Amino acid sequence: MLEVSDIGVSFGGVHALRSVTFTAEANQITSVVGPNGAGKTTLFNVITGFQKKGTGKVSFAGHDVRGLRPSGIASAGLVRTFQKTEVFSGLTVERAVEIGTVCGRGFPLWQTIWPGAIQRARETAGGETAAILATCGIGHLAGKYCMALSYGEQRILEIAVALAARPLLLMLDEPASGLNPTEARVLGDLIVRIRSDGVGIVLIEHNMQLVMRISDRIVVLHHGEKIAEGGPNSIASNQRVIDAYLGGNTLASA
Amino acid sequence: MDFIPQYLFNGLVVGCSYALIAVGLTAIFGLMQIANFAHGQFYMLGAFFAYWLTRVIGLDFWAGLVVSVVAVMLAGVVLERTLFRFLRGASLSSSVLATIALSIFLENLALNVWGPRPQKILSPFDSGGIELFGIFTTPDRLLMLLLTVVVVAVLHVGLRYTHTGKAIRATFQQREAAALVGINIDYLYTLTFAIGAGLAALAGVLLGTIFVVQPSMGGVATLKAFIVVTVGGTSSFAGGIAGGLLLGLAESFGAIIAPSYKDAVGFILVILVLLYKPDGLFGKWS
Amino acid sequence: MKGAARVSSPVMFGAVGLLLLVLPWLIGSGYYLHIAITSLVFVILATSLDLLVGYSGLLSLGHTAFFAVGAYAAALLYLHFGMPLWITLFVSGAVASLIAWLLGLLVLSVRGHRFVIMTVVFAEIGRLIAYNWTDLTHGQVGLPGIRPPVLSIPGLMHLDFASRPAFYYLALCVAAACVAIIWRIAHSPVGWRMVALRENERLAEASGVETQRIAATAFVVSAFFAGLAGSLYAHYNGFVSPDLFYFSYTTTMLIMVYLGGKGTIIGPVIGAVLFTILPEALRVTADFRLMIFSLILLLLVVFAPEGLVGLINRFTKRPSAGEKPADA
Repeated sequence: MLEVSDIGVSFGGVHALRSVTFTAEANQITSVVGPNGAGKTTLFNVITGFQKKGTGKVSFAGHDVRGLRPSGIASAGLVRTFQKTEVFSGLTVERAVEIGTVCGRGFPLWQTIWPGAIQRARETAGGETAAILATCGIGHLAGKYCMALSYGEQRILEIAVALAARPLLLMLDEPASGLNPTEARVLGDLIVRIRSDGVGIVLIEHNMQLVMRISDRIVVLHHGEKIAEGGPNSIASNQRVIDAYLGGNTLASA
Repeated sequence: MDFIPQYLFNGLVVGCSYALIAVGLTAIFGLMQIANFAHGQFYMLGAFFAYWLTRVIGLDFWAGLVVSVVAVMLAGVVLERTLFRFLRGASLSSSVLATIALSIFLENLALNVWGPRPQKILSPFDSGGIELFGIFTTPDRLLMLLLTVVVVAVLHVGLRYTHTGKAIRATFQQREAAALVGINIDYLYTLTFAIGAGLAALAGVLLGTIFVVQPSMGGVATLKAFIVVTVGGTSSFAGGIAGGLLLGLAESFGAIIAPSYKDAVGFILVILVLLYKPDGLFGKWS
Repeated sequence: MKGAARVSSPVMFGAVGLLLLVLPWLIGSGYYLHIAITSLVFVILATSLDLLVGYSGLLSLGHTAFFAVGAYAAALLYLHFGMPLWITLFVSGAVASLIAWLLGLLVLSVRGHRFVIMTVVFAEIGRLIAYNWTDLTHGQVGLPGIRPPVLSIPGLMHLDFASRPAFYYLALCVAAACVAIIWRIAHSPVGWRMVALRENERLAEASGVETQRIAATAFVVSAFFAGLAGSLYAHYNGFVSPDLFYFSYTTTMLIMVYLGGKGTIIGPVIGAVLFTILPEALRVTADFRLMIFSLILLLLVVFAPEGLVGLINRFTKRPSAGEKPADA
């Protein structure tokens, strides 16, 4: 589904990413891990069009997406969330998700003249919104303003808005950061549910417990290079990985 | 060919007034993150106060100058403590609209108090024209140049060497850190606002001896100030000064080519800068 | 949207509609009807501005330039080619849209205060051109003599819209159509994308909104209606001048949008009507009027940024979960 080949980015002589190659499939949860500064978010930015600089190829669902605007990539089905929480602040949760469903969907200007078209679009959006809110377990927050949600609730909301864009592959940037263990567990369950609906997931995370629990495959980055790729068990016992995390116990005992 | 120095000089004189107004706006915008669309009204009020004090009350020019500037600074303090305090965290739309409303209010206040007819502040100097190295000028214009240089020097020394000055620079660069270190942000904001207003008022008084004083001059001044700040860089005092002089010079030379489109020079300048150097010609803090 | 339903329930709609239809009978065809027609022009202007300011969050302070361009276009087309209102309405709109599109290529690449300055600057450039290109615009003197249309079907009717009541109904139809179209756009997925742009541009982009394109759409569409309003104004007023480019017109439109409630369409309609009527009702001189209204705008922006519609909603809604954002 997603094929990333030979990605390289450097800023002012510093190689943020060097020759990174990996793949991610639908129906799988692929986690990208690595110490801070390993280049994970930069990798996401390159893949999703937020970072124009850099070399390499990104192929999604058979199409080359390098050079496309982020909105185009999102419309193609590759949707991401951000490390720093981004919400539609002044809107209610319900409205935010509702709008999320039409963002990348076609509805050109002239169609506003068409009788009934708006009504139909609204009804479709409403139905999809209810389903997404239910999937994410935030239906009870529908009427609250996004700004008024707790941090943990906002993180879930971000995923809900991302789901509204009907992704084929969802890329989550540290969704569990700042969450307490209970919230992280709920989040993990949500991600697993999303996978079982057929959506592929690529995940940047530092929460190793979560990563180990839900990942099908793990890619480890260190100083901008991929140093390992494989299932959770093989990664946990990979010496290079253990060394990269400075001292070893981190993964196996997480 | 000997027109060129004349245009240069004229441009510098006007540029000085732009610089004075713009420096105040830079301070307010850069420090408090408020787009103060009423800033030009301090310029207007300074001029009108001076006019009223000298022509109507009969004060002599220098006393009138000082009192006007102080009065506008006081008005600035009051405004800062009331309205601008509200606007501190506000969105851009809010601060733009609120200050536009304030600007309209002040302009119409002046209109009602002093009438729409252009007035002039009487020069303190008796002699008319002077010729210096082939350039024709008046003592008022020389005064403008001189005072601007003095003010810039004082500002520079003040910012660099006094305790308060350093505090201002620190807060400019990193607001939260400055507050944590114990700098009294509220006091600084009020002080900076007052200084900014005072500088604009000074420009108004001085320019009011050279050109005319009318209620509509505030709006024009605001636009020019924003152009200068945008061109010079919103976080740089030096940028504000350089930008102001640049604008004055550009307009002066632009007037050679197309007198009626003189103002457009500034417009084109700001468009070009925004497109190619959005952080301003002098960009970051200096 | 629930609030909008409260304000415009079918009964209220009907009552207001009836009132509008019989207005000339109620207030005569003199000065008061003139005020009514003026407010209809501003209704179009305010609602078009709301698409930009309220829905898309683009604080465009040069909106009056599109109005003025439309007015001049209509004036020139009528004076040089005899084009009647029926055609100039659309041509003015198209000309304003074209200029907006070209302008947008430059102006929409920046945001924040830079965008605001650019729009003000371009409006000023427009004024300078109108003032100085005397061959085309006659400069300060302006262009007089633009007549309202005459609808003449031989044997059936002869309707001269120079008659004020006739023009009133014409303006009413045009304004109603414009508001209806703008309303539909705002409440369609297109409008929703504008809201996404306003609320969080980065997130909107990541969700699939072509942010540059939607911003351009908002810009061009709002300019179209502003230009159309300009044509309506030109044919009614009979005279256009560079004064139409003055910032004061934009300020008036902004006050109308904020007074009524930005981001609601119905809000600017109410604001436009109120702000044209109130000054007359208050009967103070123009200068005091502006002082009072600028104070009102100031208080509104600080204490009630959602405007009248928002205030009405606030007092008629049940307390809902979560706080409303304090600053729209």
